[in-house]
Amino acid sequence: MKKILPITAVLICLSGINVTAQVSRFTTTAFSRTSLDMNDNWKPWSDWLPVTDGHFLIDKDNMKASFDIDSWGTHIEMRIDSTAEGLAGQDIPLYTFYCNSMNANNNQKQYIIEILAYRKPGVGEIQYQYTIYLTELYSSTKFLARYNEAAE
Amino acid sequence: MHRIYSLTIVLMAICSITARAQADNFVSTGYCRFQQGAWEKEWAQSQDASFVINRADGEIRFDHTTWASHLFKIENVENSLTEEGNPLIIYHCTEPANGSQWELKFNEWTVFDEATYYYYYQIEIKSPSTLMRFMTKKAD
Repeated sequence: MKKILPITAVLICLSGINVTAQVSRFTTTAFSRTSLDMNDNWKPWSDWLPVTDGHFLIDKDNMKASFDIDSWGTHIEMRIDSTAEGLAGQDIPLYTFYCNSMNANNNQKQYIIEILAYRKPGVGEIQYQYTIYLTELYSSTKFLARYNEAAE
Repeated sequence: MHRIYSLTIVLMAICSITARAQADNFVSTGYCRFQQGAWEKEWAQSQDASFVINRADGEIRFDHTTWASHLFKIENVENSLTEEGNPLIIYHCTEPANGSQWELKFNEWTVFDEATYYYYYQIEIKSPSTLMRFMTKKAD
C-alpha cells in the first residue's frame, strides 16, 4: 500500500492533468456507447464515431460538473457527491466522480464520470489523451477527449 | 485424388488472395450529412451502406439497404490531404447508367482508446444532389 500511493501520485503528476487546477475542461473527439441487455449484462461497445462539440467541465472547488453537446441537445449540470483517484489497468490514472444531476425539473439522475489519462503512442511529443466514461443506470457512453490547457 | 484436392485448395487460396487484392470492401458504421451549408456535427449510427472499391478494374460500387445501388467508373484518382494533414484520396467518377458525375473522398480515421487502435475509413460522397459522409470499417 505504501508503494502504491507514491506510484499513483507520480502517475497522476505525469498524466497531464494539473492536479492543482480546480476547474478542468475537456473537449471530445469521438464517442462509443453501450447499454444493459435484458439480462443486465453490458452489450459490446458500439463502433467509434466522431463528436467534436462535446464539453466536460469538472469544478472541484464548487463540487460541480457539467456535460454539454449542442448537436445532441444534451446539457447536464451535476453536483459532485464524492470523488476517488486510483489506477486502472496498465498503471493508467483513473479519476472517478460520483454525481447527481441538478436539473430544474427536480428529476434527479445519478451519473458516474470516470476519466482515464494515458499517453498516446506513436506521437513525437508527449501527448496525453483522455477517455471519459459517462455512466447512468442503464447505459454508458465513453468519449475520447483532449484537455483544454488554455482553460485552466 | 488427394493431389487434386490439395491442388484445388491451393488454387482457391490463390484466387481468394487475388480477389482480395483487387477490391476493398467497407461497411458503414455511421453517417452525417451536409445541410444548409454546414456539416451536421451529430453522426448517426448506421450499418446501411457498403462500398466496394476496385482500383484494378477502375470501379466503385455503392450499396444501401434502402436506396438504389450505384456503380461508378473511376475516371481519375487524385492524392490530397485532409485539413489535419492526413492522406486523402479523391476518386472522380462517372455513373455509366446515367452519365452523372460523382466524387468520393476517402481517408483513414484512426482511434486510439487506452490500449487499442481502431481503424475506420471515412468516405465522403458527392453526387449532383447529395453531399454526405459515411464512417466505415473494412468488411470481413
